[in-house]
Amino acid sequence: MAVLLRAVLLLVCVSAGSLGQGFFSSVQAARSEIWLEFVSEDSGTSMVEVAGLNPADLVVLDHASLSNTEWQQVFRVFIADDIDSDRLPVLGKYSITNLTIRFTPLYPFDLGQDYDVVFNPAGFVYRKGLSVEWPTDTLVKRFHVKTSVTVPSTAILGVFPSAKELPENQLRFYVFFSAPMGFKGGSAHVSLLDSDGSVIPNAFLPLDVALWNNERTRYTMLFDPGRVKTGIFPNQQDGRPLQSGENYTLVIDRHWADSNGIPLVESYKRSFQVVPPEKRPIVPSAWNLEVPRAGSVDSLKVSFLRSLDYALLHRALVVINSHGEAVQGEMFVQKNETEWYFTPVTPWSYSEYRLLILPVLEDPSGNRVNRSFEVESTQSIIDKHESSSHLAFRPRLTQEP
Amino acid sequence: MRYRLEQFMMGLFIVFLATGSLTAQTSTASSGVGPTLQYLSPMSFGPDAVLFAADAQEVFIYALDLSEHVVGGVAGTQSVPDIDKKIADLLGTTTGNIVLTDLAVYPNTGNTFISLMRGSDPVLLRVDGSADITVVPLDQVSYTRIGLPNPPGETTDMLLKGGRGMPIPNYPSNQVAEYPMNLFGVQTITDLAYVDGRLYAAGLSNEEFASKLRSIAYPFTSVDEGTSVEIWHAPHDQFETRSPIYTFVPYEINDEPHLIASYLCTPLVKFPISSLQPGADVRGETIAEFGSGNRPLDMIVYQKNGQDYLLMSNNRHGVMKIPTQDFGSTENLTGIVPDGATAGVPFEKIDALQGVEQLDRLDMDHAIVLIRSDTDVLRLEVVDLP
Repeated sequence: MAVLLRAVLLLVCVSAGSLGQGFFSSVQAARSEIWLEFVSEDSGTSMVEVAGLNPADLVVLDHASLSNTEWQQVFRVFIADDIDSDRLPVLGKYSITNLTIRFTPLYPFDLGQDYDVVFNPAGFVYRKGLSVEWPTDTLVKRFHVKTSVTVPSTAILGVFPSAKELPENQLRFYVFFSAPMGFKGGSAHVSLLDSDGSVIPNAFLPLDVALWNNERTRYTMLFDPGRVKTGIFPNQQDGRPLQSGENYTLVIDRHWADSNGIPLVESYKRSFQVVPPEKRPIVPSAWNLEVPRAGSVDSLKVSFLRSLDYALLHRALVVINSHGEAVQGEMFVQKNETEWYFTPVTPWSYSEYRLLILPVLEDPSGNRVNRSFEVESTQSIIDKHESSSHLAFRPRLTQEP
Repeated sequence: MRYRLEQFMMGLFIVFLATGSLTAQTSTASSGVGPTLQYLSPMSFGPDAVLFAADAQEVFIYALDLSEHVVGGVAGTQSVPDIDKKIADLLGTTTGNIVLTDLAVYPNTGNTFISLMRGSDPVLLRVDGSADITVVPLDQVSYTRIGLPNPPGETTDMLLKGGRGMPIPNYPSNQVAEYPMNLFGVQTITDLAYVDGRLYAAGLSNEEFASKLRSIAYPFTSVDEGTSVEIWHAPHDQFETRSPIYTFVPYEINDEPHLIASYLCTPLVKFPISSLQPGADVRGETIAEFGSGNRPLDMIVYQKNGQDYLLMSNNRHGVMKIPTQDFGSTENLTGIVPDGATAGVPFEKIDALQGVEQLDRLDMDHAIVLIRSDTDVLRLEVVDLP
């Protein structure tokens, strides 16, 4: 009976923390008070410890070289799950340090996760050399591993193309995030609504080929099943999900988790109108170049007269100097992707430059330079596809008007 | 000339756009203890407790010396009904945070080795004949490794009808977590098999003829440019050079060693091993088409009642049993097969096996499979070979 009472008192003591310590000091003299602790090092490693044990017992255990199986009889950590009764203990390393028994998990505890820790000293088969102070009462405690971020902080920076009117043969959307996202794709979180607000089923049919960039900050959804290889998708006969003249709303719900498992700051919603398909090839000779002044680091401005693909604009246009070298600088895409600005790191010289247009450049409907998406013949593609094109320009002198 | 210009442009493109993916530049072997893997899969056992394991992110192949880790377990493999939950428990995480990437049976003990990613950490496990799950301490494993030259860029355009390309992600880091049941899988290194002192590896390169089969001498010394492989893909009415072999097995046809390979949407193709010479462009013979809208996952060869069979798992069409007796005599498919139709050597669907995500042969009469249930629970199961 006395032992049972002590067990209750000890559990209260652990739960009440420092409040109970003075009151139970007489109990401690007879048998030390033990408690479970979650320890986090600056390096980010976190561990669980049993503290308050008799130091003499710890010395005995340290010399006992117990196996993991033996340790698990007395000290176990579980992923918290109230439903599962036959859960397996987390694998890790047991050691005696700083007057505690320490459990270091094989893989770091997950941030934001709860773990149940069980210390069951009575279940210990190994008893040799342990003092009378070795406890008999089971301790159970649930720990929550804090995340460094607990409030949503990742936001959708933008969805491209950004125009209010999009062609019926639109191929893809890019979703840009302010921080790395988790591993999950967007299939559960992205939907396309028609003008009545009804979800269009299979709008993003090829979500299978949705892809992340390496940083997981850009998510690409390929849109048009008509573009997809014949025979890959059984219901390709559905036709294009977008119909000219109709209004649609793209919705991305905020429950899409970032790399910390935290939802987005807010949901995203954008309406757009669909216009007839864009079938014209890109014709660089029709572009308008606003040439910077020689000696300045003013921007070169290129106007395309129509929207081009946002992501490809960041990699398909290259400024080459008269030595054939790529000019270092920053680029900006503006006005619904109809304008491209390039600001060099070092001033422009008064010499011949070329704007190199790599053949990968596309508009949002997949039309390329001098080549429409709808082109049928493979040979004609090869004929036109053989090299990149370029536009020559020379920065103007300051005294020029 | 056209191709050269294009390759030059691609080269230029890569100079400007080089990303973290393009890391494997060496093609000579190195060795050490404790491989630092970014990804773990695919895997295949070689000689003397060597596990060949690819890092499909860094585009390296490791020969892991598991001699100290194949011992000590109960022989065989016992089914584990909720293996994803058990693994998550042991690794201190939830099932949503683990992705099982491959499995391989060690033939000498019948234990099953499972590779997985726990978040961004690769993990190798052993399941034994008493369903005991142990973690192989990768940091203590000695290895030799070799990088594959000319790894592909972030995406490779798959050729569509009309000559257009659709970008398909190549690297594990670009995949959404639903792999391996997505239509497209990791494309850098797709499958490995060891035969008589050589390791065969399939995947993509950054070349115009992107699809490669490499024959690598083991012990590793160096990797050559490999063999470019193309096939006639009848339903698509074109030669396939930019989509990888997803799974293959070594198999002798009329006493001649071959690799039997399968592709997306789903041609079955044979390549004589003797044709896989460095720098060669080889066209495989298409011996079957198994329909569209799917990706082959794994293949094994087994015998039943004196007859050889191929067993193929598939992400949407379930498991198929294919007698091999006509592999040598069947006519090479060269014409057009309508979308979704099948042609070539006959096959039988095994309706009893649904949701198979990984498959390997356990022994003469059994296979080991990872099956995902309708309720999204993954189980490791020993099944009779059909």
